[in-house]
Amino acid sequence: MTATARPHKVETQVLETAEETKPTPTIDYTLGEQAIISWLENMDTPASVASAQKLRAEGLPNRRVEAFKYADIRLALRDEYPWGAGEMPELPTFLIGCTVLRAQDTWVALEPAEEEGLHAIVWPEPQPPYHEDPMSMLCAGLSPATASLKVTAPLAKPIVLLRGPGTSSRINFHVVAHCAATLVEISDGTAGLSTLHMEVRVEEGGSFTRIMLQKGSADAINLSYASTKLYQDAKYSQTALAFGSKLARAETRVTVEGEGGQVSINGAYLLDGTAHADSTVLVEHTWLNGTTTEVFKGAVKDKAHGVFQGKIKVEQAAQKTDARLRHDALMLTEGASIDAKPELEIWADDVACAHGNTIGAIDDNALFYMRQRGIPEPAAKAMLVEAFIGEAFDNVTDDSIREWLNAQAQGWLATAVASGETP
Amino acid sequence: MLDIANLSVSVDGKAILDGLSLSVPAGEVHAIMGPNGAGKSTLSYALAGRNGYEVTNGTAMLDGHDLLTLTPEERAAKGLFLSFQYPLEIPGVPTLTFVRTALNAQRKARGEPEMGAPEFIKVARAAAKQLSMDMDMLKRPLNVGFSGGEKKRLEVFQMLILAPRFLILDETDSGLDIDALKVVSDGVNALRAPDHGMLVITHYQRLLDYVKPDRVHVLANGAIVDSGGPELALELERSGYDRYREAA
Repeated sequence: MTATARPHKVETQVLETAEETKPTPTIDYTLGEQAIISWLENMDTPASVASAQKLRAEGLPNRRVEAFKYADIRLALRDEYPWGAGEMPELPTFLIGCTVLRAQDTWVALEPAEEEGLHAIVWPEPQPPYHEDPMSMLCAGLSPATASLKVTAPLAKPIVLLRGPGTSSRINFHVVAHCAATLVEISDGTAGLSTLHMEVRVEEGGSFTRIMLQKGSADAINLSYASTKLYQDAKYSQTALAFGSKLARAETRVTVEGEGGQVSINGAYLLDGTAHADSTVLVEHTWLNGTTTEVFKGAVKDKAHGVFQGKIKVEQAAQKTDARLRHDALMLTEGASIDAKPELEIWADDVACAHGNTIGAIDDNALFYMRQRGIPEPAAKAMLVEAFIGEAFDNVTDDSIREWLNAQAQGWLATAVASGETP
Repeated sequence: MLDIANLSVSVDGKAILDGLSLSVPAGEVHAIMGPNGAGKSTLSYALAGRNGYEVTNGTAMLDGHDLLTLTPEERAAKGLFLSFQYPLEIPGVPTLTFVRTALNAQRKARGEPEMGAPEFIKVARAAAKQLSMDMDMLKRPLNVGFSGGEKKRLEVFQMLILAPRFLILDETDSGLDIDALKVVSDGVNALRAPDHGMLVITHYQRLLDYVKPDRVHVLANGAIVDSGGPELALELERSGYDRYREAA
């Protein structure tokens, strides 16, 4: 994909970097690293070769790297190549009739092949990674083929992406000016590594909405990397609900490249057992009058680990940017953990920016009040948590999608909280 | 109906109630008055089963059920309703959803069938009308952004729907203007019945002009120190609580 990058933004082509990289043979590769490197080398695409070289030089991202302090991919992939196991997620009934992108081993099947306003589905030659970024390189490297979708109308129905265990998908979306698309992404896995590399380009006045539901068992590893460019008055809206897995990292990057770009990135995580879920978001404003709101809500119990890393960068040219970032989480039991890192980096002087972060327990007073009215403690807790995280779904404009997300959250709450099982 | 005998309650290891005894027969309204810090709110929280209110001695029975062995929600299902001095805000939970969940949880606990949505809406509409409340207000999250008076009205709304057998009003008159006080009192009076009882906890006599008590008790230093008819409230209004402080 060729992004028409603005002159002052230079995209690093990874192939060049890869050539410059000096191999550092001192790394003691884990079995998993060895398996992934040889898998990447065997695929022999520009992206996989570049990825293999990076892994040879640096190993898999791990806790010694600041950005992966709370998502140690090296540790999670320590033992051997984690072949996938388990069923593909099913298409929810309310989405029957939508175009479905079904992740296969290393490619994506499209059903049906054509929809009005959804065009130019091409399978270009293997491409290099787009960014010299550990997640981008790894996820792109594992996907030898790219599905490119061009949206040339305001699509009435969502597009669905089903990601199952052991799949690596690379998808590019190009939303033409004043057109709109919604992607509902559902991932699940019993075991193994599943990756997604997605690039989205939204032209003037266009809009892209991304809904993400992530589930996975204690042996599944889910890596997702999405990078979006927004041009003038374009909109990007993302809402995620994560239940975590052995390691689940969803990295979202949005660059606002035109005036008045609007970004809304919300997410909720509900984690129990040993689940891990990491939401990492970087929004960069490079032009005037942009807005970003981020609302993340989480609740964790048992030994689960929730991670939120959110950064908004406002460049000097991005005057009048309005950027707001919030993360609020509840610890439902002792023993769970949350790491949150909200950051603002502001180089412009005429902006309105704010960030906030709270981590606490369920309000005892509210709980007593509800119990006094006859609501049993577990059910009262579930209601309070549902209400608490519900704000993360406020940016979903489609009622049926929002209800579906709420129902997923309620399903978790019914077993993990309302069942009254004591921690 | 409600029989409290020799009840002692500690909060954070500090004794607040010390051997309090009180009986409210069915059909009666009793008022508890007393100076600040006498233990009035502690009594209501201990009866409702709030965490941190440790009963160190005594018994509290409602219709022969030992309240002190029950969870707060079980006490509610037995018909105990505590109207809070400061009703809690529950963001994200619409008022009607909250009340219906509470009603059906109580019914389920009592082995009664749950009330369906259409019937509930009918009941809610009637209660809202009685309290001159707008149904739209009841779709908003519980108590969020409501004024003090609106919150108290919502407490009464919940009472009307949950139809408790025994009602404890904890300083329900605080923060109410005279019009709101009338509406709230009318609602409370509507719940008076031969098989219902009420305990009205108040610092001032004002509420008792509207909710007429059968008996008035004075709570000071953690125990009932005086009891009498409605005239006792008027007398306290004139003379204050000083003599009970001195007596203790």
